[in-house]
Amino acid sequence: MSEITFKVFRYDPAKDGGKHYQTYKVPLRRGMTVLQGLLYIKERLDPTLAIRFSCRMATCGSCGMMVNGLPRLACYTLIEDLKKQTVVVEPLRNYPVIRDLVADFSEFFEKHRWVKPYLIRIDTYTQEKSNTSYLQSDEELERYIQFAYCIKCGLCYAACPVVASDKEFLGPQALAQLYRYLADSRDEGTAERLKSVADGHKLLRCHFAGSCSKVCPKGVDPALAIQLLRREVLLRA
Amino acid sequence: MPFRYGLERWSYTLQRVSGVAITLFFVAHIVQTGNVVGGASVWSIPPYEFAKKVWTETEAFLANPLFDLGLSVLGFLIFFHAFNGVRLVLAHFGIILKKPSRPEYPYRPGSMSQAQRALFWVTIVLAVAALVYALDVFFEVLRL
Amino acid sequence: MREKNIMLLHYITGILILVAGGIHLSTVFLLSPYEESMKFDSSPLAVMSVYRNVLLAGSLEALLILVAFHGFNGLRVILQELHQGKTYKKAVSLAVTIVALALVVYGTRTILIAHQLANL
Repeated sequence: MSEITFKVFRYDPAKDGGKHYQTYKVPLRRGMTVLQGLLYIKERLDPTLAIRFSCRMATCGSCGMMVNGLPRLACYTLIEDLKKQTVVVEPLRNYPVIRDLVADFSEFFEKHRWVKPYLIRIDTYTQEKSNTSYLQSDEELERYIQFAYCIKCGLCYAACPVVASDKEFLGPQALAQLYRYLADSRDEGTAERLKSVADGHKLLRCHFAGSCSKVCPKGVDPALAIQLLRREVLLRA
Repeated sequence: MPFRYGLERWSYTLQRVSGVAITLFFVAHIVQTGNVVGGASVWSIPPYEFAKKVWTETEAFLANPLFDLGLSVLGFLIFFHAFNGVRLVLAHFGIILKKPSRPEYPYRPGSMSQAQRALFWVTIVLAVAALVYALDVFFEVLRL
Repeated sequence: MREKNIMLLHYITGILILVAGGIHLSTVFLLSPYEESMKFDSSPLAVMSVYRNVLLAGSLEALLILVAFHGFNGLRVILQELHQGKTYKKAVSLAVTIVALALVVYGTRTILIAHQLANL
């Protein structure tokens, strides 16, 4: 039974507000994930550790954190894949920290809400009352379905270099969702959506650094969505 | 430190650094070529001998091998920025990216298409070629 | 609307610079050995001879304007990304425009006078 060292970021604003790293030794089993390590710490070593997690199978998007310098889902990262003797765990970059490894997602969700992530129809009556469904062919579905796989885990937002310095930039997740609804053939709010990001920093400050697509755990490829969105905005809006 | 985010992140960083460097060089270059006609004090045709004097002085100042090395590195940066820029224009309009498709594990993002990455390496090759050519012009390394 | 148009111009000027810059680099490096190019005298191969020809001088002027726009717009983008705020944004835009315009004016003066000098 071997051991692995966890170096975990600790920060408690209610106590003393000091930021430091605490080291724990965790027994290592084969196939163990970072989340299992953190839960072992929480259960046996230090119950004061604050972490967010839920499904433990990369579908809820709760357990995003910086593991050895890259944003990853803790439940989806095998410790043996990291190939290091120490696992350094920190809260997700580009978010304010609430406590220990828990990040504040309010701004992230605010930007998501801003892009109107729902179908906009001219005739709202049919949306609310009607019994019929909107028809959509397979080809029309393929145009946006990839971007609908987003689990809002926020890893892309943490990886983006523009988000790190530009407060007005919407971020890869919100922009990918904007394109997801734009490309959806059932949506009729095209002009409004394109106009909303044609000016300012919201979309046009993306420089295709591609870090968002590199870290996305579900293969959503927000970088692709943003370039396609940029094409629509520059050529059509 | 963002070293492990992949090719596109490196391209973004280098494009920015080269852009700033080229702009600063541009400022210096406009000021320096202004000396071909006699410097900032001249706003109508100067006496030929005066213009020649200022130019010769500038040329003497610029004969420094350090400036030559700087120009060679700048050649690399200019060629990189230019051809990477072409690649970026194509990528920003989605032309060399793959079409959206259902994600299948292991995910290969369409934005990291082979076409786009190949263009990046072409850019690097051309920029290195420019660097070698510039070094040869200034220092006669290969005597091409 | 405005940022989108500025970015379109940024792409277009970038591509045009490839052409104008190509002409400029060719005249300096390819038409003659480099040492010859840098001589002041208006020998047929020197840099000054570039200013004599109206088309070549015109391409230099175009390069000046295109690079000034493209480069300083790039600087504006970078600076405005590093910090946000209404006054900061306006200050950066203004500063960048002024410096770019000043350079274009100074460079145009160079080209005009050199053109006249070379044609003496």
